[in-house]
Amino acid sequence: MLDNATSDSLSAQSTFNPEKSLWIDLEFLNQQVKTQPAISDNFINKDPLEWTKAEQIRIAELYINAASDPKALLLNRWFDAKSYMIRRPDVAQSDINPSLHYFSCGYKEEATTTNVEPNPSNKVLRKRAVIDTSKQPFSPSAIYKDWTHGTRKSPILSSAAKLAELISLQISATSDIVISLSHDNAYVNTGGIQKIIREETESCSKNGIAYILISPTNPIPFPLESLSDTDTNGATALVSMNGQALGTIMQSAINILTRNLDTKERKTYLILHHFFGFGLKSISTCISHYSRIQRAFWWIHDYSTSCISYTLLFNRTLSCGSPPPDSNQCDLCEYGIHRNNYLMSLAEITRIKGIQFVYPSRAALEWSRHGHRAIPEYATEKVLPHGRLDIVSIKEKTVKLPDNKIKIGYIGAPERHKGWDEFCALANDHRLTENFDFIQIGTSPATQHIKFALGDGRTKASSVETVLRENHVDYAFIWPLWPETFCFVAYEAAAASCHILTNSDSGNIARDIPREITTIFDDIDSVLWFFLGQKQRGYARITYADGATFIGSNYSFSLVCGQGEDEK
Amino acid sequence: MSGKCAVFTSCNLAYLDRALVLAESFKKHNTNVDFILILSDYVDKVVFSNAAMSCFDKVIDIEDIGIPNFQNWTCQFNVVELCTAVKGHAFLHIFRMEYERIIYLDPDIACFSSLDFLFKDLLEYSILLTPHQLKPAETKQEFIDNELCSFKHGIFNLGFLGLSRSGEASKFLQWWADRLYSYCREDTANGIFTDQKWCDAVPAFFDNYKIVRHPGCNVASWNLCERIIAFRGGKPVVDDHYPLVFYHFTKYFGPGIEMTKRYASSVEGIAVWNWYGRLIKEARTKYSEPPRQGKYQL
Repeated sequence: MLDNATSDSLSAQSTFNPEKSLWIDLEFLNQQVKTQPAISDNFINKDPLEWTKAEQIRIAELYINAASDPKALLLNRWFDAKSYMIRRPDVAQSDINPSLHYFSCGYKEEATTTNVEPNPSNKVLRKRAVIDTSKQPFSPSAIYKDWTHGTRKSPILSSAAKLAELISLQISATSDIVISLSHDNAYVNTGGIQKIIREETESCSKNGIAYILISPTNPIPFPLESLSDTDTNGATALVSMNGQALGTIMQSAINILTRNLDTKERKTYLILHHFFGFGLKSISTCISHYSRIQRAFWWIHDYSTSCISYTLLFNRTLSCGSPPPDSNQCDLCEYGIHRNNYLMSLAEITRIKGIQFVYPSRAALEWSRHGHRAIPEYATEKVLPHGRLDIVSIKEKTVKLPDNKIKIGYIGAPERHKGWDEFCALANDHRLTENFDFIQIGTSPATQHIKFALGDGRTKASSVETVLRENHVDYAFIWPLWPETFCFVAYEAAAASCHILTNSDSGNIARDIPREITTIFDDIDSVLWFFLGQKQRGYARITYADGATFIGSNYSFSLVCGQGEDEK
Repeated sequence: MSGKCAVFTSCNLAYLDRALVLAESFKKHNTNVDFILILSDYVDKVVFSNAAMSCFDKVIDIEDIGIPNFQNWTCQFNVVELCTAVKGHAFLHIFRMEYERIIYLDPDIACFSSLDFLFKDLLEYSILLTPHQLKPAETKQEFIDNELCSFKHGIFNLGFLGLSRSGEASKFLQWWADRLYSYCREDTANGIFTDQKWCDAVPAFFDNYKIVRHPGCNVASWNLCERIIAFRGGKPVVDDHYPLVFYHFTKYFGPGIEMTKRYASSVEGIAVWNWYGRLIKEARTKYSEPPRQGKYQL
């Protein structure tokens, strides 16, 4: 229990309004500022969003001094005064500020509050994620079975030579061709790489180049070699031309197809988008037989040239920075055990003569170079962004609370590595419920607790930009746990006049989206702090891009024409 | 380094998987030091001729380490008591094998970096001990779970003990082996806990001992609340700049995970825990059929 002296002191320090859940007691801070002339009182009159780091630290210090324990500051953000007073009627009946009571003595008496448990904490969620990994150990084979529901698709097989004949009948002997390899059928699936391939197909067709896409029939997020205990000999691949599926062949026969399409009269371009789901040997053989490749490009859409954990998430949880494969860190990672063999297999492919590695952003290039990877030092690398943002002007709007609600959108697949857990934690925080609306935009609802809007990008009406505008989304919460190479949705959200909320390790997002319309946080706790600050103030001032357009590139055509900035 | 060095562990065949993980992880970072297994069980020639067992430089049957009245003596202990009671005589036996500096590690430990600096310490000191905790508990929960538990079971964790050939270590061994011979019991009510509680008396009874305060040594669930595991340059470190030297995975398939979850303040800490489970499973696949065990009716 509180002794009388402390009780008097706390009562004098602040008055408490039980209708307002305390976050930062500005009145108390004002008093502190007045009694300590050393502190400039300028900052206390400033908008909290404009506080400098030094000022934030000063405020933190004031709070720590008041609450007498450094842990108080951390806990303060999770404190629910109402629940605390229900549990501590003695505190409720007094004039004591419950927050200060809890942080100065209540917690020592082990008084618990229902919301002290820091649900939205990144650290807690990530710890849980790693523990989950231990219950269901990661194994490519297990995931393979999960993806294919225990059975693989066994389509009717075509002869690779016959398929080459069929293609040759449809195009002239002098038609140039693009052989493109990717991890799934881009014409039926959605996503960034798929979007790129569809646009490549279109631009090639327009320029009289036949676009032949080869993709594994059973897509998986690993190369086949990592499936040590699964029979991979029968792996097959779908062959499409100009967006039309032609037939399925054995992966081991890809080289027969490509060799039969190779003529002296035509130019052949090779575009390697992704090799997951393929056997690396099949790709290596296919390429080594190709004597007349005009140009070969390898798009670095992610970090699969460094590890089979293509997001570089250590145990699917923390960004790892791609250390050397014989490091202790790799030894401790569920993916690390595959890494040595994997990088050796990849090295075969990276040695293709004249191959160029193409990065969709400078952030991707820097991250790739930062870590250990299969790409040789002498490789030719270039940066060719998938598009750019054309902004007419930057504007600012004010959303007043509580008459209006601030709308926060999550766009895309509800995946952990995309920040879905963090979004849910914010959406489920009861302190935000009254003033903030959370909405998931994607192909199907992930949970009944969060509003959903269809935004699969298949039609103009369901394009991300349209759906964001229709739902009046103010903030796009784009929180990848890994450094994105090129985040389409960030550009689409910016074009939809959303302000982007992201983290400092989000790669291309933090680096390339204009700073005026982006707020970059160090951790998820700061986002909560940011929202609670708006709630406390009763309004949010939001900057956004007015009249912005996302302009995509003609990828293949750009490459074939030799565009893009060479790095070496 | 002058003189031969050795590391040994003591267990029965039920813990062979853990001993294998320890030996392999130790050899990875300490190539020039012999690893000896003191086995309180059948030393099956077929089992130990397996290539996977090559990480053990020597496998010694406890029958051969010179314990007086051996057969009758073994009958009084449970498995934990027996495997710890042999440690005093095992040290004496290994010293007789011309080793100069010897470190004992519990079988449920794994190494993450070299123990060279500890062997160097043994050039100067006779006895090395690691405390369960290096700092006072900060919360009641930590006090109950960790500090109080150490007061009951011993301030120093005998999952690690380093001794060098010296007069003081010899005096210590004479006393300790003698006590273990008669009183190596799990009897906390009477102030005894296996081979461990005895060593609370080391600072009072002996000189030239060192309490190893390196936070990367003997990291375990009982001290995770005071140590943070992270990665720096691909290597696990403790409290930002100490290399993680060895981790004690105590009660791995029991309450260990609960305590680790409670006290690990980083995901890397949990990852280290999970990694050990994976290695144990892998180790079990290295002997095609389970070796016959239970020689001492444990």
